[in-house]
Amino acid sequence: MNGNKNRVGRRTFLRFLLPCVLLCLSLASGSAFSQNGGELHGHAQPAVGPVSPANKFWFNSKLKADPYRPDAALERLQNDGFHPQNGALLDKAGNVVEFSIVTNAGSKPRERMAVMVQEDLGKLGIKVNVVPLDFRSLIERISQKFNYEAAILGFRNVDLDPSGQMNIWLSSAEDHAWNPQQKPETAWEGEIDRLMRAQASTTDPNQRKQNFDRVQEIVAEQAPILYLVNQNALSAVSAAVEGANPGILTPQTFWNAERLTLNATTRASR
Amino acid sequence: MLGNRKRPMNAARKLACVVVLAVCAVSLAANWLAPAGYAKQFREAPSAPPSRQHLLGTDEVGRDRFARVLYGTRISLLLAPASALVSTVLAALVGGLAGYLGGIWLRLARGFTDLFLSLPWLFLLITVRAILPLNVSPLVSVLITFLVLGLLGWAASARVLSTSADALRNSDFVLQARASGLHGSRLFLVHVLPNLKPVLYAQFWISIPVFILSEANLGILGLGVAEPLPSWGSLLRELEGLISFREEPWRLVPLLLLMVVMTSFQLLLSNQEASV
Repeated sequence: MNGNKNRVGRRTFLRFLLPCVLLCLSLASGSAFSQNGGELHGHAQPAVGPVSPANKFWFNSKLKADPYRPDAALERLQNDGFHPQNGALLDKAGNVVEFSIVTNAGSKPRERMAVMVQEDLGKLGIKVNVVPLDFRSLIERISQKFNYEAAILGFRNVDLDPSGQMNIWLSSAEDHAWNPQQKPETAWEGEIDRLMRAQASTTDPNQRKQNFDRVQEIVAEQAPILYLVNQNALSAVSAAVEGANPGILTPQTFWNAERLTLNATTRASR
Repeated sequence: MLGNRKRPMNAARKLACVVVLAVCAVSLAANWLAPAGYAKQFREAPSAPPSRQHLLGTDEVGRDRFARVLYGTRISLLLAPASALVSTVLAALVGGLAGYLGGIWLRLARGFTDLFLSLPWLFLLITVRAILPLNVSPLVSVLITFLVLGLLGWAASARVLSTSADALRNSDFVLQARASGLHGSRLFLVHVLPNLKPVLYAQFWISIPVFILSEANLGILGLGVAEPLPSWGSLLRELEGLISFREEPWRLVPLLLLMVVMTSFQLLLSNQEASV
């Protein structure tokens, strides 16, 4: 078998409604999935934003994924008034820091990621309850009832162009889940609205790139979504097949199906 | 009492009894046998093969599989009887009382039971679980899961009990007791309930493997016991994506354990049913 792997823009992320601990959590949980194999057996890289590094033009190369630094995370939490006590992390008011992560039952990688986040945050004293739900209930909670605290889900880019992500970044968009169904709730969301519209209404690629780079920076700073990993796409092609040239977008192996042929030896044996 | 004859256990049933007791004893000793614990993640050794440190290797996030099997066995084997107890008590209340009261009560109870039995239990369980609060500890979630199983699993037993209680209500000795002046709760507690005991015991024992399998079904779907607690259902999920049994036969241990325990329960139950 010939193997071929590429990074693709398929990202798994953690969505929070608890902005106070966002950045610290990214320090404490972000990179565990690709280190030492981990859940994805080394076939992933820590993610930093909505674009995979494989998308070389649109990826903002200035952004770097946070390394796994639980001590730094705890320090930042303490600077914000959180403090550990008897193995639990308490906020300024003395409340135990606890939240739930929902994900879709049946997705083993996401459930395992949730378990790893649970373990990592447990080291800081943060109690995490992992709740797999059937997909319909999960989507209902996230997109209709807004009755959840954090969710692990995956986005798949249908397009290399950032305009394909308008359904997420515009504050009025349907999938803008953190401040849903309203006008810009915050100044930075208003800024993203402006930049996304600007990049979509010009034909100058450099200007568009500049606008979308800024969007990626704002997302990294404000962290409405914690991007966890960029998964590799693995394609396996039989040695009997010639002409395979897997790409990074779906269908990775079959995009040139008209050029795939069996080699001479295989044809002769049939 | 009616139906109180007991048959001696044959060798297979004795063996089954020993197996169930041994599995229970080993699972209760998990703290000593598997000090690594079920939740600790050895990130440097995910999906590791068996070794001296990890007798059954590790799972995909590096947790000791032997410890998870022991703790999972403990959860499944201890909480399934608790669910069976809940469902048997409910069945006794609904079926036993309806059968004893007879008439409209019996017809109502049977109609309600039939309605309950016609519900797709798996979807019912999934729905009930989806509306539960999110922020509950894993231990509470385990208790809720098995409590829900118990609360939803009474209907089949209730049918059996209502029929038995109905037969007792029309029996000669109950008629004689009525003629002697016994009525109401005293008649039920002194004459009917003791004669329902063998049926209650049988329903209780029959329910245990049913609840073990129900939890396993939920676990396989990822809707069973909450992480990081293990159960047989969540352990069986590991078999998803297993490419070759030959290369990693140790991953089959939870499945083999489930099969052995379920077979043992069936052997024990055949003895129990024969004694009813």
